[in-house]
Amino acid sequence: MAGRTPHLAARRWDFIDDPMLQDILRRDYDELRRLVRRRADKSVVVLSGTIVEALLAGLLSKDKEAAIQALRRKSGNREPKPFAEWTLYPLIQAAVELKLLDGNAEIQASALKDFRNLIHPLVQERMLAVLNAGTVNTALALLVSVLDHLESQRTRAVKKGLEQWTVSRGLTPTWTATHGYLPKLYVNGEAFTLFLISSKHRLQIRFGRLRAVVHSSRSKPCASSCDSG
Amino acid sequence: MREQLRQRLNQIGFNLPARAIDKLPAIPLERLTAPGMLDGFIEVLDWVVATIRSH
Repeated sequence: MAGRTPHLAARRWDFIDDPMLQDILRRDYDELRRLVRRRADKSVVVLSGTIVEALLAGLLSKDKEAAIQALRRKSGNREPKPFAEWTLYPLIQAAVELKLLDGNAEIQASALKDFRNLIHPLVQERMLAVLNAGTVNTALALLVSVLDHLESQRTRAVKKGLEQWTVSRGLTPTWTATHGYLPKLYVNGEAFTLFLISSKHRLQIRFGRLRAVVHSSRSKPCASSCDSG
Repeated sequence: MREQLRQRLNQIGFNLPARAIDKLPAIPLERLTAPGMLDGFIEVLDWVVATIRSH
C-alpha cells in the first residue's frame, strides 16, 4: 500500500452489551489488523465496512424501538424493515437521527458503505478505478474515525457526569494542558485533587497526593497557596 | 484512608492491587460507562470529600 496506512490500535469492545456481537467485533477487528499487514486490499476495504455495521447494530440494538422510530423519521415516515434485516445504510441513518453519529461521521460512514459494496462483482466493476492504495487507506482512516467518534461519545457522558458532580459538591473545576481535567477540593486553604481525567481518556486516582495532604491537614494548616497537585 | 479508598473502589470493580495506594493508578475512562460504575464511583468520591472535610 502506498502512503501511510492508518494505525489500528488494540481496542476494547465491552461497551457492546450483546456478547455475540462483541465477539464478532473483536474477531473481525483482529482479522482486519492481520489483513492490513498482509496488504489484502479488497478484504481490508470490505471488512472495514462490516465492522462499522456490526458496531452500529450493537449500539442500536440496546433500544430497537427507538432505532426504528428514528429511521422512520429520517426516511419520511416510511415503514422500515424489521431491525434484524437492516444493512449498513439504515443503521447509519438511524444512528445519525439518534445523534450517535454526527454529520461528519455520517459522511464517513456513508463512504464506508460504498466501499463495502465492492463485495458485489457488478458494483466492483463500476468502482474498479477507485480501488487502490488510496482507497484502502481512506477506508481504514474512516473506520478509525467512526470508532473514535463512537467511543468518545460514550466517555463524554462519563466526563459530563463527573463535571456535574464537581460543581454540585462545591469543588473547583480545573483544566490544564499537560494533565487534563483535575477538579480541586479546597478545605481550609488546602487543595485536594482526588482524580484526574487525562487527554487520553484515562481516569487517574490520586492516592499519593491524598495521603500527603491529609497528613498535612492533621498536623499543620498550610497557606492558601498550598496545593496537593 | 488510602487503603479504605482502594477497598471501596475495588468493591465497584476497579480491581486495584494493594501497591496501588503508593502510586497514581489509572484506568480507561471507558470502564465507567459500564452499568452502575459511574454512580458507584461518585458514591466513593462523596465519601472521600466528606472524610477530608471532617478532618
